[in-house]
This record gives sequence, structure tokens and C-alpha cells, in this order.
Amino acid sequence: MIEGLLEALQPINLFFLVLGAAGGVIIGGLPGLTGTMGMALLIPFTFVMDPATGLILLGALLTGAVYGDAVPAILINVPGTPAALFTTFDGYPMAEQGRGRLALRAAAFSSAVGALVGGLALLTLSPPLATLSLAFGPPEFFWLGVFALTIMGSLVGSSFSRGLGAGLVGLLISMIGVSPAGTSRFTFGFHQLAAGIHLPVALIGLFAIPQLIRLVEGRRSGPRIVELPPDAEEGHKFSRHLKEVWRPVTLLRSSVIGVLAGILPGSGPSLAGILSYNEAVRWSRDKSQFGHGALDGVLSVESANNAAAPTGMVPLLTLGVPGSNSAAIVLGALLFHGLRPGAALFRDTPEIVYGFIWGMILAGMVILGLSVFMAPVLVRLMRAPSHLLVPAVAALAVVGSFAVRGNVFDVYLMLALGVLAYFMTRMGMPIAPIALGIILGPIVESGLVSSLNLSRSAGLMGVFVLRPISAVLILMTLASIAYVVYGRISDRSRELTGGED
Amino acid sequence: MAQAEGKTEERGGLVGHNLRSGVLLVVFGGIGYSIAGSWGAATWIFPNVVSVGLVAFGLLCILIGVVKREPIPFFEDRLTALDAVWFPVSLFAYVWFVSNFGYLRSTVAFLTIMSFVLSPNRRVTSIVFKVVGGVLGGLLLYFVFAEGFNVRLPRG
Repeated sequence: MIEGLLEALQPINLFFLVLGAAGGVIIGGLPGLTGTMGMALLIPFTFVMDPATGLILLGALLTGAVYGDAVPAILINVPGTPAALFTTFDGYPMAEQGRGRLALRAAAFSSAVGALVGGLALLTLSPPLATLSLAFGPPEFFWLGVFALTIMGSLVGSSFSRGLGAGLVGLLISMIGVSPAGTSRFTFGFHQLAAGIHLPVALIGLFAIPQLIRLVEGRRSGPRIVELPPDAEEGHKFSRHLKEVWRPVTLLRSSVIGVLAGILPGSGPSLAGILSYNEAVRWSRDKSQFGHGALDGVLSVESANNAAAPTGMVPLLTLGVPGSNSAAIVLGALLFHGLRPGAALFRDTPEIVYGFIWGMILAGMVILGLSVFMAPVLVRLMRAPSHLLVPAVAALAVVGSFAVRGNVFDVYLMLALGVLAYFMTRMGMPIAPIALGIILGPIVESGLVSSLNLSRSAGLMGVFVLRPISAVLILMTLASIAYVVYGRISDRSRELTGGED
Repeated sequence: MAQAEGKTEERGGLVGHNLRSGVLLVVFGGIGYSIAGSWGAATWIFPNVVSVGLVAFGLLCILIGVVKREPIPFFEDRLTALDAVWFPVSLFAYVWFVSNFGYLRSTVAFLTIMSFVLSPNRRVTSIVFKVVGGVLGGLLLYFVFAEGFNVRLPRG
């Protein structure tokens, strides 16, 4: 662990850490741009870096972006991502009441606490869990993939069937190329497809292009920005604001909720924010303040979603299964550098994996420092017109996907996937399960084929169901489906009874 | 107000998210199944499982769509629909120009034209700024990737 901290403190890594955190805050703060999109665009840049430096940069950008999301939520009532949705409930009313600077500082402080707690949880939970991965065989990896897809399909978006359908589309796309048996599949005569779709190309297309089209569509309706009063007018200095936001019970409770929600594949910061806000309301003595500028509202959501961001890496680093979009991008970077997640990653390259984790913890501290003087910059940045943002990001997406293999075909592929993803979102299908399906496809397929081979001697039940870890994963999958079905039925019955509950 | 709501419903017709996505999933599953059927046993097991799953979830979505009857327009209005067509087409055109005329020239032209098209401001000074911005932006991207990262960008 110490070698990881020393690695993260190397001058070059510290430089990219600060750069990544600042870039993340800016990307998260720009309405329409997301941290995932920023990470996807950044992958080609990390190819020329040392693996530890590249991963620290990605981790810092993610941490910065999760905080940055709160800025448009507070100042223009537009959450940068669904994770910051609940920040709008109290952050925007605070800004309207002339307490915008306090709200921004509360978001930065709680983000730093959340990142610290989440990072420490990642640091302590990952090594033992990575050892557990040694007990995983093909059937366990098959069921783990099915579980991850089911839970992401059920938690992301508004419909379970559409979410899971999107995941299956991702699995279908993952089969493009040469099969494990050595034959070409779904290449449609294009020899360029024989090697499959390169992960960074798919991620850039899925996360950048639909967002750009949406920015083009939304360019006619500009958001209304709440102006920040100068420090003196708001009546408080930074040090006094810090005293005001120091609410250890709220911060710790929300961070722990974030840690638990983050570990669950597919849930991540959004679920963490919802659960934590609900708990903050439940524990509050004055519930009427929530929704009208309650400081606890901002603190609870921001500490929870920032704690969930690092712990979202637990399933990835230990089992090789990305539980979130950002984890999927980190997996792309790991694989590109020839690193495979799991016990071997912690045993053979501790300085890289622990450097990455320490990088995320330190990035939380950096954003706290950055927030002191970045607020006015962010307000100005939020006025960045889409006619400058859209062409710049589009050109970056094109050159980024070209740089992966130096191939124009990849760029066409990136655009095609992006346009497909856009039209799927127009049909109410979420993008995240598609990305997860593309990543999990090879894991699930090799797990299924190897398990079927094993079942010739041990029997189908013996291989797929009766192994203890497999049985637990099957139960978890069924439980997640039952939870969603129960939730939908109770929502429906509540609608029918006119919301009396 | 009621008239406006009626118009929205008319535009959306009887088709909603579930029905549309259901049809798409069935189409994907059908394509996957029909192609995978011709492969050897070791290759087709997984594609067929996924294709059957797609058809099953597609049919489920269609069923939900038919039962729920949720008329939602695909696009909010005609301008949004137009944006969803011209912008992706322009991106494909940009990539075609990159491969045929080189990265630098195409990017400078793309940045300039796109910032002009997307901007509501058509004043002469603003146009000059856009041209300068396009040239500088294109040069910056070119040098970062070509010189900084040694990427062999298309020269046309």
C-alpha cells in the first residue's frame, strides 16, 4: 500500500493528478458533458503514459467530475448526471437564496470526505476480495457476468425489460470478430471487423456521440444561471463555511451508504445519492427544510456519490467485472497496458493498483483546494456556448478513436455505434447496459462455453447450480429481478390508489 | 391547453418507447439468430442464447407497449428531428473528408463551419473569430496528436 502512495506522490503523477481533477471539475461542471465521456475521450492520451500515471489521471478526472456535476445542479438546476439529481433539490434553492457559494463549498467538502472514505474502503476491501477471485472458475464468471448485466439493466433507466434488452444488444455487439473457436462472426465481409470492436472506440462512440447530438438539439434553450454574490456579500469566509459544513454524522452516514451502494455492480453514485438523501430526510429533526435549501441535503448526496465512485472500482479490480461506466473505461485502460484485474494485479503490480487508489483519495483533497478559487471560473465556463463545445468535442472524439489503432474504419465504427446508441436512447433504452454488455461479452461467453465443456463430466446442475459461489450469484440475480418486479408492482398499485401510501 | 395535448398525442400516435424498442430488439435478435444458425456448434451456442434473449425481451417490450398504450413522440418537434439527422451526417462527412483530404485541412474546415452553423450570431466580427478559432483549434489538435503522441494522422 505504501508503495502505491509513494507512486501517487511522484511529481509527474501529482501533476497529472491535479490536471485530471481540475479537468474533471470542468467537464463535470459543463452541462451536457459527463465524467464518463471525458474519461472515454482521455483514454487515447493515456496510451503514451506509464500505466500508473494514466490510471491516476483517469481516477482523478472521475473524482473531479463527480464533484463537478454538483456545480450545474446548484447554479442552474440542471444535474450534470443523474447522480447529482438530488443535489438540485436543495443546492439550487440555496443558490437562489444567495447561499450559492456555501452550497458549492459544501459540495466540495462533502465530496472530499466521500472520496476519502470511499478510497479507504477500496484500499482495505479490494485485497481480500481479490483473493476471493482465485476461487472463481468459468461457471462463477458466467453467473457474475449475468448478475452484473441483470442488476445494471434493472437499476439504470426506467424499464427493466428495455435495460436488459440494451445489455443483450451489447452482448451481441461484443461477438463481432473472431469467436473463441476461431471462426469469424458478424463481420459482414469487413476484414477490419475480424479483430472485433476495440473497447475505447466503442466507449467513445457510446458516451460522446449521443451527448453531442443532445447538445446540438438543446442549443436553442440556454439555461438560467444563478449569479454568485461576492464572498463579503454572502457574509461568510471560506473558514466559516467549513465550520458550517462540518457535520460529521451526516457526512459519515452518507459516505458509508455510498460505499455500500458503490460496491454493488450497476448501481453506483446515482443509487448512493438517492439512498443517502432519503436517509438524511429520515434522520433529520426538521424535515420541512429539505427541498427548500437544506445544507444536509447537499452534504448527504455529494458525500454519498463521491464515496460510491471509488468503491465502484471494487468489482473491477478484484473480479475483473466493471460495475459502472467509469469502471468499464478503467478496464479498457488496464487491458491496453497488458494488466488483468484480479489477485495477480495486486500481487504483481501493487504500485500501479495502489497508486491508482491513492490517486483517487488525493484527488478528493485536490478538489477541495480547487473549489476555493474555481467557483467563479465554473460560473463563467457554464456560459460556454454549445457552438464552441460541440465541434471541439466532436473533433476530439474523431482523433481519439483514430489514435487507438491508426485506422479510419474505427472512426466510422465509433460514429455508427454512437448514432445507434442515440436512437436507442430515443426509444427509452439506457446506454450503460450496452457498454457493459460489450465488455462482459467475452467473459460471459468463455464462462458459458468452458462450463458446458466441464458439464460433460460433472453434469449441468453440478457445474452451473450446485457450486456454492454460483448458487449465491444465482440467488443474487433472482433477488435483484424480484426486487425490481416488486418495486414496479408497488409503484403501479400506488398510482392506481392515487398515491395514498 | 387541451388542444395542445391532443396535438402531442396525435403526433406520437399509438407508438411508445416499449413498442419501438421491442421491435428493435426483435430485429436484432432475428438477425443474430438467422446468421448464427449457419455456424458450427462451438461458435453458435452463445450467439443463439443472446439472440433468443433479444427476441424474448423484444416481445415482452411489445406486449407492455400494447397493454400500456403510451403515445410518446419519437422527437419533440421537427427541428429536433432535423438536428438528429444533419449532425450525424455531418460527422460522417467530416470523417470522409479526413480520410480523403487530410486531418488538418478537414478539421479546420469542420471546426469553422460547425461553429458558424451552430451559433445564432452571424456578425462579421463573430465570423472572423470563428475562422481564427477553427484554424487554431485544428492546429492544436494536430500538433498534440501528431507531434505529442506520434499518431500518424491522415494527410490526404
